Amino acid sequence: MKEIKHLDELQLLKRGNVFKHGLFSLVGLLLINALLYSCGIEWASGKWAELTIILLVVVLCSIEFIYYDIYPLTERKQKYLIYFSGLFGFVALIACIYDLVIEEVRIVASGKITDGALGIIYGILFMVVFLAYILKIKHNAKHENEE
Amino acid sequence: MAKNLKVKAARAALDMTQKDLAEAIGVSRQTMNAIEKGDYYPSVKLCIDICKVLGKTLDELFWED
Repeated sequence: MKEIKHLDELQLLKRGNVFKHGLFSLVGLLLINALLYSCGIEWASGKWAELTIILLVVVLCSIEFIYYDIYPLTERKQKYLIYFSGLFGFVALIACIYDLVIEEVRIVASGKITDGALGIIYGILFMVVFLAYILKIKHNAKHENEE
Repeated sequence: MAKNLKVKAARAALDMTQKDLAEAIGVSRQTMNAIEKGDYYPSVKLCIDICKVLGKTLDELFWED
């Protein structure tokens, strides 16, 4: 039996589509952000707006990869990476919630989302990838013998 | 797209699961599922690989009736 060490042709096709979706999403969101900025609307301070958009697109692409069972790394390495992302997201979420509650950091200041609130968003985004992976694993296990 | 029942029948005749056939060819089970459901038309190379494993010709598995 051949050991699968690379993506097959359909997976390569789907991977290309995921990258295409990511590229258009990224360009579109950055243009919207630039438009808002030109109208004087700044929803996050400094470069956090662009970084948030990039992270959002990376997360969306990651979820799409998980949905199509496309893992650029070996499945074992991918699993460790996703578990680490989940752990990182959880720690970031807890730390930022602590800041908001105990340190009384505001969510919005001067019409912009604060760094603490952005940290919560980032934590949630990382955890969403982890949850998507767990759901996909359970779904695959449940439907493995269906043909 | 029409389902590829010939591939499914040939696979079943050899008592192979989709996973077995996919591993034998070197593709994922999801890809093999997509081929049998008619959601994806494989390349000629992949068709040949499938035929070799199942012991059939290209006409027997992939030619339209």
